[in-house]
Amino acid sequence: MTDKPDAATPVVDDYLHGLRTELADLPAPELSEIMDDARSHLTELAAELDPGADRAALVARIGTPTAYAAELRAAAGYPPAPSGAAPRSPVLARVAIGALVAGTLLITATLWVRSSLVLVGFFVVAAGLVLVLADGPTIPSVRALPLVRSLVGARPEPGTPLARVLDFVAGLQPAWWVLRAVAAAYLVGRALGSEGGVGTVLLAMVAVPVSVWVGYRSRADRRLLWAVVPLNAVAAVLVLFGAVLLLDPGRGSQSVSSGSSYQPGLSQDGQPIEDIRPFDSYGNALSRVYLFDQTGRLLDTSGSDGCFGSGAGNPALPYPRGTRDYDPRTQGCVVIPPAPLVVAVPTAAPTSAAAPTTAPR
Amino acid sequence: MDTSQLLKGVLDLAVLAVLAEADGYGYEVVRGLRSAGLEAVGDASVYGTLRRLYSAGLLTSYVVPSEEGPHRKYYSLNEPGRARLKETTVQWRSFASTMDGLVGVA
Repeated sequence: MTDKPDAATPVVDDYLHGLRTELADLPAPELSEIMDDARSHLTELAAELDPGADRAALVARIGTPTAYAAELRAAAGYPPAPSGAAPRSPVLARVAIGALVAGTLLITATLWVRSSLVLVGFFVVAAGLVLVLADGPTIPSVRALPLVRSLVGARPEPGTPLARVLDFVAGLQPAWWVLRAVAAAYLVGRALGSEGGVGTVLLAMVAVPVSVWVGYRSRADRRLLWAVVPLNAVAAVLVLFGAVLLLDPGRGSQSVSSGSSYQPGLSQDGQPIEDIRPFDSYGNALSRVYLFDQTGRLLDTSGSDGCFGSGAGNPALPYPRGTRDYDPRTQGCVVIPPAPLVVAVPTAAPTSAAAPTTAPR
Repeated sequence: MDTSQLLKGVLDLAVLAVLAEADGYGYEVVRGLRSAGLEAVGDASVYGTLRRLYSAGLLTSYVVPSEEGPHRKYYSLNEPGRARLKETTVQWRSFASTMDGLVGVA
């Protein structure tokens, strides 16, 4: 017995885990006492059996975790296992977590492309949530996943410096609850097509109390935690992007930081205009053209090409300029020269309404 | 005959009796019962009984760090536990002699 290594063997861990799942309906303090006893019990047994004894040997000695739990319940006078608590297939739990992760990634990846895929992401997350919520308040089958267990087990021992840092960070939670509510309000406002900061403020007035309430509740009901984790991830990405844009001296000051409300550059019907291709009324492509608005301001597409953080485009160039695109390889913007374009020139004769505004009155 | 049915009624007394000799952690109690001849007793039953006696206030527990594995939780008989043991022992003696009289001492 003395040559028993300090760490429990995987067989013991596996058995204990099965036992915990079986007894998950018991009050947490009692369950923790039982698991303390069982851990030391199984470690002794594993030491008594041959080193490298497998699960079958353990089961031959004390029965399956289900049998052990039933015997323990009977002897301890606990209520029998709730009938609905038949352990769910781990496949469902895996699908649930997979859907949550995939949906979250999809949402964050498509946020900035203004794609309808964002909605698909929300649906995938919602599906994953339904599966998690169906697992019951203590989410036994989700907690049973090896990945989840190792994450939970990776928490540092109390008293270590790392644990103190984590405690401090945990103390900042309420501030985060407010921050994520604002981020969510911004996101929903954007998804609803509101570009104004007013919409975000109004939504935030609802979202902040809800977020704080959810924060408190999720400490008790761990299912809420799983609902909140994907949303937290989305909010964190939003806040991070917001911070990056705020710190970017070139573009942040004129666009996103000023209320995150207006789209830089040119757009038509919500679609960004990345380049202007001038043609005369005979369908001949024109080059080296400048265009101005009614007040004489130069029309400039350089803000609308999605090349964030690359410095302002060159507003002095005539049209067509070509488009710019982000190159993930070089992490910079590359200029794509204007490709040949065939356009259908409207045949209607110009009316007086289209007359140039500089015409003499 | 399957002795596990008989054991159920007297497991409390058996566990209290083992702990009356010396404090012990769960597996020590299991071994104590086995070495006394109660081979049929299930490990989980002993652990469950310990939890129930503890919840009933008949036992106290304390943790002793172990160098070879997880910390061990020792159970120890307290005053109510001793009183219960005494009382149950009297009941058992009377019951056992009644049964002896009934089945006849072979």
